[in-house]
Amino acid sequence: MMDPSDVIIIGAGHNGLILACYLARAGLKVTVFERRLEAGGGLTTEEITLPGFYHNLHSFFHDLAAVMPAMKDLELERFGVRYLRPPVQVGLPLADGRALVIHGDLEATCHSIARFSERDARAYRDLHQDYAEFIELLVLPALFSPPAAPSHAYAALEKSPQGRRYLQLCRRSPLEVVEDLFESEAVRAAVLFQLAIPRGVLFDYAGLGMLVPLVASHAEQSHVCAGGSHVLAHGLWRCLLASGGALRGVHEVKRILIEDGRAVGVEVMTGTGLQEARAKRAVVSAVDAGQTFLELVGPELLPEDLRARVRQVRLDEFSIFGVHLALKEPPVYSSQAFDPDLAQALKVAVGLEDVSEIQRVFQAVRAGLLPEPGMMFAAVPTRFDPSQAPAGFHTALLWQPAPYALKDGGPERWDRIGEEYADRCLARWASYAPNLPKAILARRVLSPLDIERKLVNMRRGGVFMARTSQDQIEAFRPLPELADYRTPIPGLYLCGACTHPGGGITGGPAFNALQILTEDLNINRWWEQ
Amino acid sequence: MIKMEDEMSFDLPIATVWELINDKHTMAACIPTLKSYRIVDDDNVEGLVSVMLGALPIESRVSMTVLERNPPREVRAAGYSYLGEALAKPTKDGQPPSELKDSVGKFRVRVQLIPLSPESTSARVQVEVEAEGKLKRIYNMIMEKKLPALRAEFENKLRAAIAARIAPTPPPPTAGPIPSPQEAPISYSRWGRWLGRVVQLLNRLLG
Repeated sequence: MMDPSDVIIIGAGHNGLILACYLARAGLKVTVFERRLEAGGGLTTEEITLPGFYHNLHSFFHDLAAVMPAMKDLELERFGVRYLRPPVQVGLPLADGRALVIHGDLEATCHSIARFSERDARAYRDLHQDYAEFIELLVLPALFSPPAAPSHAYAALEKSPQGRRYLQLCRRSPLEVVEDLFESEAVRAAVLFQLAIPRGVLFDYAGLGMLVPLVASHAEQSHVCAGGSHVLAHGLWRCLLASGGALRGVHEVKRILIEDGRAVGVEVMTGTGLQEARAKRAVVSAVDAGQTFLELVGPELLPEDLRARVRQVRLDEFSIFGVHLALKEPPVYSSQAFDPDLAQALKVAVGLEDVSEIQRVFQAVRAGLLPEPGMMFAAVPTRFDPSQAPAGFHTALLWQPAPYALKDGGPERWDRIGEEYADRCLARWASYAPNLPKAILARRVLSPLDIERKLVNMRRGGVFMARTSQDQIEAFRPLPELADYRTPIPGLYLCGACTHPGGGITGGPAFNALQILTEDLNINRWWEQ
Repeated sequence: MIKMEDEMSFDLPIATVWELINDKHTMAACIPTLKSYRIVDDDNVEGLVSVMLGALPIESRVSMTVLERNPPREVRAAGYSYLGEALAKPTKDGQPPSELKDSVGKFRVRVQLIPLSPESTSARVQVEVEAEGKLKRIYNMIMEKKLPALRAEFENKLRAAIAARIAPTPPPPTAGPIPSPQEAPISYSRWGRWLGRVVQLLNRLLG
């Protein structure tokens, strides 16, 4: 048996690592068990094409880096973590040669929008002015707070006409909201593009209309981690070790040990066989609810109705088909003649002429069909961080929303068709950036099946760990009875992206679980609240 | 915890300042976010506050209890704000009942009056605000951002009210539930408003 810890954390994704660092600095003996050799979960940066070309395979940009409490509390800069914020956030090139560009700066964005519609530029500015402060002071802090009761939002807002209008907007889908606010298809598409990735919210998700003001608030600005996403994982790892915590890689947790109804440790597969590791105070799972309750906890230890409800937690509706490129030059868009700022956009929406492209792609995804490439997400990280490729060269990634299980052939069919589908995706990209085909030195495909193979926590290739729909956010994520990070088993907690505020690199689930653990375990609160 | 301390001086005897700061109607009119209020008894007041975040008013209920008066030098009060339909009765020390732990902002106020001369008085105001529960981070963010401007507005209104030596005439308190903001807004008398502006102008000119 291994030495006992105060707290055992299952999974060394960024949430597990962040929680471990906080607890270790509070003086607890913390051990993190990770099945893979490499810690960090979706924070993977690897040389998968050519030597010297570092590709961010999953997480690439981090929207809340500037406000994530862990950055400041854990002094991550001291452990080598540094973020860059490109001033041009999103670019939308169109086949007719025009381009819409979303800047971090409001006025620059409105100027770009005005080239499509003066009315939309005014509407966008009004939306920003109406909601930016509300989002800065209430919505963003709420991401780093355990979810409040749903009635609190109503209590705060329902008495005023403005508040009731906002509550009404919340009940709509993002598509309905952009249709109400904007006349230009390009503007509508550019806003909706920012919801699927990284938020996992689709255009027609009822009850999530409030994400449109969130986009217009510019409160969440995409940042890239200098050196690649893995630098954040390594920084957290170093921070954990410096705080006295332990990380055991290639140690797969097979079972959560429960005695007298209480979580007391885990059974781990090590290089020498199964071993027990005891936790004196808590076991925290950073993996999803399905793995936690259906695989790691024996069925005899949970009521069947809870197991049934966990089985009903809906996973992400879409996965991502990725193509990673080593390039000798960056893509040059034809639309750069219309707006040169397009070249500097961190995220480029390729094959998104109008909202109907989004509808078409997801209609196919939902039917398990291969979508004709469109609404693709393209990025060239080396535009902002040249360290990720040899001098003068570039890396690029292309993400196409795609189904995990294909109607004909299931997920395994991806192994047969991946390369051919990559050709089609790249061809569509090249229609906007004609220099692309000759610029490619090497490429690597990462299909939805590849995602699941590499990261077991991304079940069915879903990168958000549970669908971000109205019934599975905030006080309902992943289930109402699990939404405060506690579980029905004393001593067992959740801290992963299946809890509020969901997927993406935010550290929010970990920080919120920390607050609950602090309350329950009477932990020394050394960080600023 | 957010702490704030202010010191103001007035060309008034201490007894006059004491009388005005203990006049609930005067003080109610000076609180920038207070939309309506109800005097429960001599030591307890309930109200509805509204803070604008962009275009959205965020409303919550507030309860304040006067804990101690040491005339004419010091008054201490405590209270809490709460998102919800009805305020539960505060505890003896003005604190929220324990069942409200999820969404409470607590505050303590201490006002000390120091005579500078027979005709002038200094007022030292100390305020502590602390939130608890799941909304703590949100409360703190809002308070940190909004307090400086609210503080300045409170001081301006207090100076105007005290300089006028006329208590503003808010609508009479209601005996029943707290009315909605549209029904019972806070307002000054016209004479009070005019005199307040004159005093502010004089203050600016005289530095």
